[in-house]
Parts: sequence; C-alpha cells; structure tokens
Amino acid sequence: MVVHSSALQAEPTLTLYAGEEEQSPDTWADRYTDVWLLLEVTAEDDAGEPVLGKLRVITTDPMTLAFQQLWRTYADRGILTLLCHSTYADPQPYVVAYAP
Amino acid sequence: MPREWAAFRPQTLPIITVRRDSWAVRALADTGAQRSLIHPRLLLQLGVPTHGELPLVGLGGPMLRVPRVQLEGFSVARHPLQTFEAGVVNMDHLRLGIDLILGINAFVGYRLQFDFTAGRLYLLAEQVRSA
Repeated sequence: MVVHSSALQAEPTLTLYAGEEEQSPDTWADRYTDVWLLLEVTAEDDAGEPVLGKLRVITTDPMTLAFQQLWRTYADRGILTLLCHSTYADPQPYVVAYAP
Repeated sequence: MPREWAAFRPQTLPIITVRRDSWAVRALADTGAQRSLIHPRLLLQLGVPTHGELPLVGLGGPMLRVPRVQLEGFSVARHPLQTFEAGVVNMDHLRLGIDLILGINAFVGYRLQFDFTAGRLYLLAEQVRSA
C-alpha cells in the first residue's frame, strides 16, 4: 500500500516525525501530551515486549484514513509497531465498576 | 525459555502489551469482564469482520448491544491466546491509552497470577490432568 505524501500533509491531525533516535515507549510517552504515538519497534526483550523504538507518527485521531493507511504500511512490510498514548494532561479518573 | 509474565507499571491497572503479527498495542487485563472488548481503530486496522451483536452490561450502566467479532492470532509475552470473542467499543473515555480489554474469555487455557508490587502478570499454561 502506498500513502501519498500530499494526503498526509492534508491531514491536520497527523504529524510525521523525522528523527531517528531510539527511546523506550515510556520515554516517548512522557515527551508528549494528549496524543497517540506510533513507534517503530527497534528492540524487544525475550518476551516480545517493546523496549526501544523510533517515533514515526504523532496523531490526535488514529481513526483517520491517513493514519490507518500509514499504520498499515508498516504491517505490510513486516515492521513491528507499537501504538501507545502519551501522557494525559488532566488527571485520569479512577476506573471502577460501580452501582449507583 | 522466555519468561512467563507480561509487564505493567507497578501498583497500577494491569495494562500490558499485546501483539498480533506486526501490531503491538496496549491492553487492559480485566478479570472482572466476562467478554473482551476491542477499539474500532484496531478493528479497522486488522480488517476483522463483525458478526452480529454482543449484549454488554456494566454495573451502573444500561445494557448495550455492540458489534461482535472473533479475534485470533493475539499473544501476550509470546504466549498465544486462543480465538476469543470481543465486542467493539470505543473505550477512549477511560483515558487509559488502550485498544483492547482482555476479559476472562481471552485467557482460556491459562492460569493468571497478578503481582501488583512487581508489575507482572504471569500466564501459566494449564497442565492437562490425566484421569
């Protein structure tokens, strides 16, 4: 699958990251706020847990066609990616089951 | 031999990494859920078709009917999960950064052990007991 650069540039919710530095997923997550991050995984531990990755895409909306197509290109090439969320700006609510 | 546990941040919800082929995403391991849930964005990515509806109810909420899918090929810490049923739900309002909630139906064939101090979810394959 080919994703045309014009389509990516026209998508305001998506930013391509050109750097090549490798960081842990938690380090990448701590650098940003309220966005989704697509990492190209460059190192895993013996259980397959991603431990290092290159940041490839920053997006506020992973449902867009442009992001979905871009994400898919990595899978089509057999490149392992990790989709994770950055730090949340507001305090997270506690997640519980409750009966009012 | 690979380790038998998936890591999560100590003393937090057990949000672990789940893999299928070249996709790795975050998932909440939820032993209080009878069925699993998948976010529409991951379903779109995987191209899995929906089949009918799944009735869901949470404490304090109304009953919902959501699209139902069969998920296969997922693994946790290199331990393969059997094909399991999931409902399609957007869970972004939880603000957990997850694409899956793995209910108890996702862990068929495993005994789970949570170590919240160390941040480890152990998946222990069930031994086949002879009669």
